[in-house]
Amino acid sequence: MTLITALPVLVAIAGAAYVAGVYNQIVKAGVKIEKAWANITVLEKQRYEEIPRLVQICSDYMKYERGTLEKVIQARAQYLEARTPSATAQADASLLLGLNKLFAVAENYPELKAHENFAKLQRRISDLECQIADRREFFNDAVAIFNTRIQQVPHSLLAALMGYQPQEMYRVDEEERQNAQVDLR
Amino acid sequence: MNIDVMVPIVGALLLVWAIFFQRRRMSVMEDTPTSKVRSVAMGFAELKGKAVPIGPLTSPVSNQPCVYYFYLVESEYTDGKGRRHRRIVRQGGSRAPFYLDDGTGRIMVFPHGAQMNVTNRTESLDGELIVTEYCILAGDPLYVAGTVGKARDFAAPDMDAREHYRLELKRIKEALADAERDQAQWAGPQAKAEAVERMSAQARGIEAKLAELETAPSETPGEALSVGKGEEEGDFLISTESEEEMTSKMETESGIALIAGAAMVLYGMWALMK
Repeated sequence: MTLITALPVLVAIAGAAYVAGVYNQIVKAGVKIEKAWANITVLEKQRYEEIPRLVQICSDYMKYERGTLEKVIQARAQYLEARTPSATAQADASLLLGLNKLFAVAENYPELKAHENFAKLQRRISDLECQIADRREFFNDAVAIFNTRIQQVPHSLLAALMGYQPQEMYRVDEEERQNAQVDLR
Repeated sequence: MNIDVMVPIVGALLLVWAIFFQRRRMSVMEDTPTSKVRSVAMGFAELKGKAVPIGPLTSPVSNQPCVYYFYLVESEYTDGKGRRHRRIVRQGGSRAPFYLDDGTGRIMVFPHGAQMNVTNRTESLDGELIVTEYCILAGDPLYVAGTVGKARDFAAPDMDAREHYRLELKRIKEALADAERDQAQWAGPQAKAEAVERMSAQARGIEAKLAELETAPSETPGEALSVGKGEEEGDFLISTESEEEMTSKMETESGIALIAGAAMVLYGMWALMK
């Protein structure tokens, strides 16, 4: 085989390797989004598990605040049913609003505030909230990278062939965010 | 096929490989979002922060307190055409872990097996040998892309932190003995006294760290969240340059390599047609 006949073969191999590289890059970016979402749900699961314990402690002290406690339970149930980033964001805002109200009402119950487990749960939920916020930011970064990649040439050509669409980011309305700031005093 | 054709083809292939390697490293950096230490998940992650020492560590050449060092000892020789080259005689580096602090928390970094990009460089002569030392100092900006796991996943079985400090202590004690033995190396009694005092202080710091490690519960460091070279993810990069500085440098390098490769291919084809 002379160099002139080998050249097209070499160019074809290099071209195929390049296309494979682009394909792998898109797939990796997609997998990173899935992983980022799964990593949020790991922390959210830990938070769901803490909420019934928190409500249990509160209900022992807050005999006349059934409405507030039920709102937290309802918001938690709504949160568990959410499937998409926007539905999760909305449900999360309601859950935080419920928790905010609960902690505000707890201010009127000095015995509850002095309860060791209540203080521990408050701190734990606050820490988890910070970590969840970080991971949502990470998720949005992963989505931004993916969405940019699939709109760049030559990735866009392959992404169109593979049927990849831009992914939805995790967004919370400004009003909901303002209302849902957890105030852990 | 003559040498005029072979040389540019082999050169172009080597450049293609270099570009591929560089682009791959760039895509790993660009496609990985930055995590925060307090919420980092297990697996491959990118972290940015500042270097913080875990224990006392002194660089062997410039004798400055640092969190990591790497050195190269090279000899120089002249080839048949009168060009000067360097040959590595020996090399070594610290394997002790250090912290990365990003403001949200601290994570241990095990540097063993990392591709290092360290800008703090000092070069000195030791007789006919050239000694180049790279150091990461406390407070230096740090970029780390590696696998997050437990400390026990990355601690080298042949050298744990205790072993590292024992060797460091031995090295300083030898230097102290040498200070007494070889009086000719000192400019005067004041210079000798200052150096001896500095080394003695370093030795005391290491002895205190060793005592602390001997009494520490063994499970604690093993469970601590750490970054190191993972078994599955091959990439592990530690840099004192920012991500932007590195990617811009890589882009320039791969652009030059692309132009050089294209020129080589054209030259090879011209030589073939001739």
